[in-house]
Amino acid sequence: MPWTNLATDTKPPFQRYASVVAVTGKSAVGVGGRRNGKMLHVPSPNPTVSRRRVLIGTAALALLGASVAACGSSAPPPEVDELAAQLERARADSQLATDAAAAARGKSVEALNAVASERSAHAQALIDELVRMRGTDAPTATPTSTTAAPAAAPTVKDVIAALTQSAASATELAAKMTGYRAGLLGSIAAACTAAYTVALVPPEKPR
Amino acid sequence: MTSPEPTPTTTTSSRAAEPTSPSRPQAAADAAMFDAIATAQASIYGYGIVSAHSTPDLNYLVSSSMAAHRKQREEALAMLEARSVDAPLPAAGYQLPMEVDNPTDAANLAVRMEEDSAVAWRAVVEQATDAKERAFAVGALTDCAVRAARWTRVLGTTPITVAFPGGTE
Repeated sequence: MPWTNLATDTKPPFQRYASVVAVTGKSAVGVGGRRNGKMLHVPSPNPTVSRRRVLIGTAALALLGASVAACGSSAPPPEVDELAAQLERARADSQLATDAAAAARGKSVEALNAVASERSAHAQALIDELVRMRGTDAPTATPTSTTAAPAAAPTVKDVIAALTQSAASATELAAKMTGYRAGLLGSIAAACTAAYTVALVPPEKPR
Repeated sequence: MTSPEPTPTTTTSSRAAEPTSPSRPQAAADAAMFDAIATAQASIYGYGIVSAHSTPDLNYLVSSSMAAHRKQREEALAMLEARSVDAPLPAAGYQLPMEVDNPTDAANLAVRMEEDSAVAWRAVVEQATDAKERAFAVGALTDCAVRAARWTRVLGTTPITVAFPGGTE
């Protein structure tokens, strides 16, 4: 069950916060117990466990084991498809920006090349995450970019339009996902938005 | 990030902006929101310094940036209040992460604050347990990236954007 291991596989921010909570939670209890000296002499109740509790416990364990085993053999979670769609967008945008940069002149060339490299960095990060989710196999390379080159070279406007859509798509998906994946998609949405609202637009004249 | 005055050393962590009271909540989602509010408060203070050292033609950018941080802080405060979690109080003063003596320094501080704010909001995105809060944090993260790009353009360095605002990928 490759994708269930993700909980242990998330990036540092997630673990850091989780561990802080765990540690402080424990210590708070410990300090509270020790502060009052009289409490030390109160005998703790015997740890008796009824037969019924043991039975319920083992039944629950068996159930858990069964469900975990079922997880291992089941199909990949729906998030895989949604992240794969984001990967497609990132690859397509990167290609579009590269093509536009080849046809452009002046200052926009640099900005378009920056967009191309950022979108390809997004693609790589999404590939890394998909590999983590699906186990060891890398996502299948999709040959979409080879189909029918456009008649006219793309312009900055085309790239802005594509990035606007990609940003909206990543923003929507980020809110639906949780943990590291939500964070990654949030950063991707932010990068796309900054690119199409600032980097690819001529400097605004101060009022 | 600009940190509260009593902190002796300068640090980039928004955690350093923790005020003396109230304390940082234990739940991860609350703690991330708490940090984001503390970072916003430090940024609001910092933009006062940016304002003092920027040229007048950038007034529009200074005021819109500061207003945006205020708006985000107010919305985040409302979210914590709805959960009965105490929010951090703004510090009386903050130690700046760098010397600010001229317009270039001011723009550098602005970029730095937007980067730090992006880190704080991305933490909220990752830790949030509520889809609405997560969506709000994604919006805040995006706004930080846009402002960081505007301030980087002021500095004249390229590229003016980064691939992963608030992230370490």
